[in-house]
Amino acid sequence: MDSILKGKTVVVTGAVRGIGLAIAELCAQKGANIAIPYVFVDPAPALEKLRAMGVKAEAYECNVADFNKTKEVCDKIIADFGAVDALVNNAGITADKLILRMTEEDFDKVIAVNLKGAFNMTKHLTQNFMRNRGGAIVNISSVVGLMGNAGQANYSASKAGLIGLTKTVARELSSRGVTCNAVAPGFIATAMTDALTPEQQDAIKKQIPLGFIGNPDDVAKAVVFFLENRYVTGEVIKVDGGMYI
Amino acid sequence: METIKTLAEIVNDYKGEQLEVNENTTFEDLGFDSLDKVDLMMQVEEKFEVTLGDDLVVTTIGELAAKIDELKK
Repeated sequence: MDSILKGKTVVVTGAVRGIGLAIAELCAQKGANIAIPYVFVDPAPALEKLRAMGVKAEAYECNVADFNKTKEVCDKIIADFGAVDALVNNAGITADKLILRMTEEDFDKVIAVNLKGAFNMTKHLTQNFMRNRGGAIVNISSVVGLMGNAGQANYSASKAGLIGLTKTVARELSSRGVTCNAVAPGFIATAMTDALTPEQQDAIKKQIPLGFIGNPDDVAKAVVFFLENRYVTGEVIKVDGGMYI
Repeated sequence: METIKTLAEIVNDYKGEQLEVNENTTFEDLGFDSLDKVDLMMQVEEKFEVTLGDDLVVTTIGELAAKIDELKK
């Protein structure tokens, strides 16, 4: 049976590597066309992978923290793809420091990308979803948004904020058949965790009841669950190996 | 009258159908809920280059047209 994502357009911010790319790939496997707002990383390899799966894929250089630029890019995506059926707010950054050392700039830049970026994209695609009388939004939060984490006052605040944003958007747009949910990953194998020493990785695994670090694909499966399910909204799924029970 | 005619065009474009819209038409008649009203107001603000704000209370198209005309003076 075909997925309801077949032939649909999914916007995944920051989907040029890691978790975002895994989400885009799983959506593409289900037949969805993919639009990727990105910065810094060359999108060509990701686009090549996605196009090889037989779907349309385009990338748009855009810092999601920029309100006007996100408006311009959302309009361009709608013009290029016809309409947008789903949005995954994945783009995120870190600037970890203990609060004692954290600067105002460290705090502001993480909130700007992780939280305001999701607001910007959601805001600029809301009319599109309303006109379509349907759509799905998934925000990539984090388990640290639920439990906190030393050294991540900015990041955990942004990720907790995403949960509030998720629940509010779910309430505001439910009458138009638009769902909004969040996925809260725990430790996921990315370039960042690969750089950790075996000792550091062991210390992390001790915090995870399932005893191992997850893969980007584990997160992608939770995202696709939300994208394919029209009767779940305002929900948060932790994908953390039981780290925060 | 010109304002009401333009509002009727915006409403019909929004609804995707040709409705009889006159000064006595209420938003309730049009089947508008609060989200529709906000969406419509944003389009009206853009079209007429006015700021209506979120506190505006209008029930009919005629009342909305009068408010727009007052702001355009």
